[in-house]
Amino acid sequence: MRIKRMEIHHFRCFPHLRLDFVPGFNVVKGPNGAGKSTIQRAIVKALFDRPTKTKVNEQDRSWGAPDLYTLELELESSNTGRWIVRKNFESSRTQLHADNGDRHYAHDSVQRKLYSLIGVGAESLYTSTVFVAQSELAAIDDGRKDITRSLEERVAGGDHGIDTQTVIRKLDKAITDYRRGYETRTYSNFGHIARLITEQSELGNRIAELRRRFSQQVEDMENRDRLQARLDQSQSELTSQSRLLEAEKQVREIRRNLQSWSGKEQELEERLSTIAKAQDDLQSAAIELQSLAAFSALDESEIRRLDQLHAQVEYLQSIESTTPVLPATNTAPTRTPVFLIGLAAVVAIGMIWLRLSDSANISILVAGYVLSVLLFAVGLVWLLFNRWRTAYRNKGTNSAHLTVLGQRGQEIASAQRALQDSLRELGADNWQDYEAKRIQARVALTRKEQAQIRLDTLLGVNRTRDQIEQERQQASRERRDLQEKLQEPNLQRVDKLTPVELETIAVQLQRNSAEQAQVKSDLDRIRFRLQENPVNQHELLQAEERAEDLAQDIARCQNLLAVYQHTRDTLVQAREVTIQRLRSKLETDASLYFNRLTGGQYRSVSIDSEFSLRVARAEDNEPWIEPSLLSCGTRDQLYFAARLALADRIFEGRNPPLFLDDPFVSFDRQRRELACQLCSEIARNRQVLLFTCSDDYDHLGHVIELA
Amino acid sequence: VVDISNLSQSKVIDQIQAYSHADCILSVELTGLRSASEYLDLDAIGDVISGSCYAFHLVDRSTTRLDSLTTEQFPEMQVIGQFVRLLKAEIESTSDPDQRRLAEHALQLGVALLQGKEVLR
Repeated sequence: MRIKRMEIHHFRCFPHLRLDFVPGFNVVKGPNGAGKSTIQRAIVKALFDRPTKTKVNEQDRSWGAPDLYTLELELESSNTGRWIVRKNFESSRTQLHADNGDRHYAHDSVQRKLYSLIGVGAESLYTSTVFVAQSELAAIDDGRKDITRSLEERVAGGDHGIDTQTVIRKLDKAITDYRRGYETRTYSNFGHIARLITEQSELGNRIAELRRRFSQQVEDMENRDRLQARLDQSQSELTSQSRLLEAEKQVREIRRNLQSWSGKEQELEERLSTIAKAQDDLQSAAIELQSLAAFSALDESEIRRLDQLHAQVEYLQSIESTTPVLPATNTAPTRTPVFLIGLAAVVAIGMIWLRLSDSANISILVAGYVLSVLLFAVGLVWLLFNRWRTAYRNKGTNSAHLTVLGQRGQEIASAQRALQDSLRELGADNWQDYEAKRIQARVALTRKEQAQIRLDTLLGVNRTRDQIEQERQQASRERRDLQEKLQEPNLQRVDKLTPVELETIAVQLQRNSAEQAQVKSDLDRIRFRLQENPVNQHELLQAEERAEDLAQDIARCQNLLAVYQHTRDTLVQAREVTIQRLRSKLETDASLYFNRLTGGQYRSVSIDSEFSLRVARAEDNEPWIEPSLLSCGTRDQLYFAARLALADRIFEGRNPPLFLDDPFVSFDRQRRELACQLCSEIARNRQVLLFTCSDDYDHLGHVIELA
Repeated sequence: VVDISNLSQSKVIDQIQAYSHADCILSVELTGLRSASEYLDLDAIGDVISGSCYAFHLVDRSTTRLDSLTTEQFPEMQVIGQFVRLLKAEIESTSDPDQRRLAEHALQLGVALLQGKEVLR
């Protein structure tokens, strides 16, 4: 593949530039700042860049240009014909046209086609292989770069400055770090699978403990809730039962009060009734006293006078009645004859008893009967004699008294008149009437006094009947109120309870109280345990999440470790295969080029498995020489030879253009001529673009001079 | 952290510049999948961004899209070419999904490492 033409618009220092290259050696000549590096950069951008209007690409816009640049390359290949790639960075368009009519417009499609033409898919791969700059040789010269390392980088095919060994070392370190673990300020959270596993194990134990405690806590909480519910229910029952018993007490109290008030009311009613009766008695006594006012108003002197008067009448009347009769003759003389008659009867009864019992002989019986008859006869005679003697004595005294009796009659009549007058004044018909009315008046007075006393007693001190009536009404109201209170539903319900039911309630209350105390105790114990040793669910969740994270981290680390290991192994294998396939050809080509560059001073170049180069002089018996022992110029030649050989081998068959950025500037004249001679020979098979500011290469090929 | 999947270099710069100002120390990590053909010029990004902030540190942890990794892009005579071919062959030949995934990750990682990306953690 070769570049036939390049045309650029508005790129860096070139508003417009068209360069036509020949298939062989091209010398792009110009002083510093003429745009040689710009042309190299334009070719690379045309081959690899995605045309976009970016700030980075903006930096390459020509000063004052209205649009971003357009790059166009015409490529020619012996196999595939002529291709034109055009990239417009203003419109972000890529085009690839082939002579055979093949057209590509999508960037990826264009790039794929270009890769197949060039044989490489990345700018870095391309520039690190087919671009040989003076700066590289200078770095080898002054020891900034080692030949082996530089070649290794190019064989690796990676970015600038990356070689396979370095990557493998990096992987080895990462693998070691992951296996053994490491702690750095930056990556303390990564790696250290062993630490993660240890942490996972510790965390697992902690989670198990937390779960156990949490399970216990959940159980405790459930028990607490259950006990709390039970306590509430028990409390409710307790309250209900207490209320019932309280109501029952209330009912009892009401009943007692009711009884008290009823009794009081009844007592007051009775008292009022008694008071009414007493008042009636008082009134009737007063009325009676009013009718017997004269008798009740009698004073003691008047009564005494009347009594004396009556006594006088009585005396006179008694004297009048006793005077004609002989007193004390008709009593004592009758006792003895009666005794004798009684004795005769006793003896006779005794004789009859003896006769009936046959315990006495006849003589005794006769004697007894005779004695009895005699006693009876004596007693009878004696009695009759006494009667006769009394009648005789009374007949002698009666006439003497008649005169005395006449006088006394007058005295009696006078006294009786005086008495009669006094009684008439009082309103009494006679002495008996007087006596009766006076007694009646006294009785009425007594009755009145008694009624008054009773009334005073009933009323009490400073109380009136109305007050008592009010008290009775108060008692009645209280009674009614209590009765109404008893009609309240809850009291009525309690009132209907039987003593057995009440007893049952009391027993239940006691049982509930005991149960409540037990539940409270259990509840307190559970609450204490919950408070004492709480497990935060959040803590458990965090630990579980952390465990999951750890498991994921471990899995990720192990997976990453496996990836690292596989990458490393494959890289080692790839490197070995590459070197194995490359080494012999590379040795041959490098030996050829180095021999040519040194004018036959050095016979061959040896490359070992670690890409260490050694050279052998032309003489057969000379030992292999390390590059470090070579002169700087020879070392440059060796490196240049190796680079050329590498470019040949890597792009085997494709032969992309070789870009030489004034690499021989440090060579002496002889070496430069040899190098130019070699490059001219190379240019027979592949296009060579030499960028230089010197006129020394004009004779080598097509010169493109930049102004 | 900037995911550069399907982003061009200019878009990447724009995204980073959104966070940049004169008094900040900007540490940027590029992640995501990127086509093998997309060359991200970290130096160019650094040049643009470092002028607009106090300090700038850029780490490229992006990896290459598998479908964009074709063997044509990588010469056979380079380690990266051999590496891609070995793993591609392994990916295509293996029937074990785990082994296939492992090979795919290794392919992405190896290419990224050879391209100079700091993808190792």
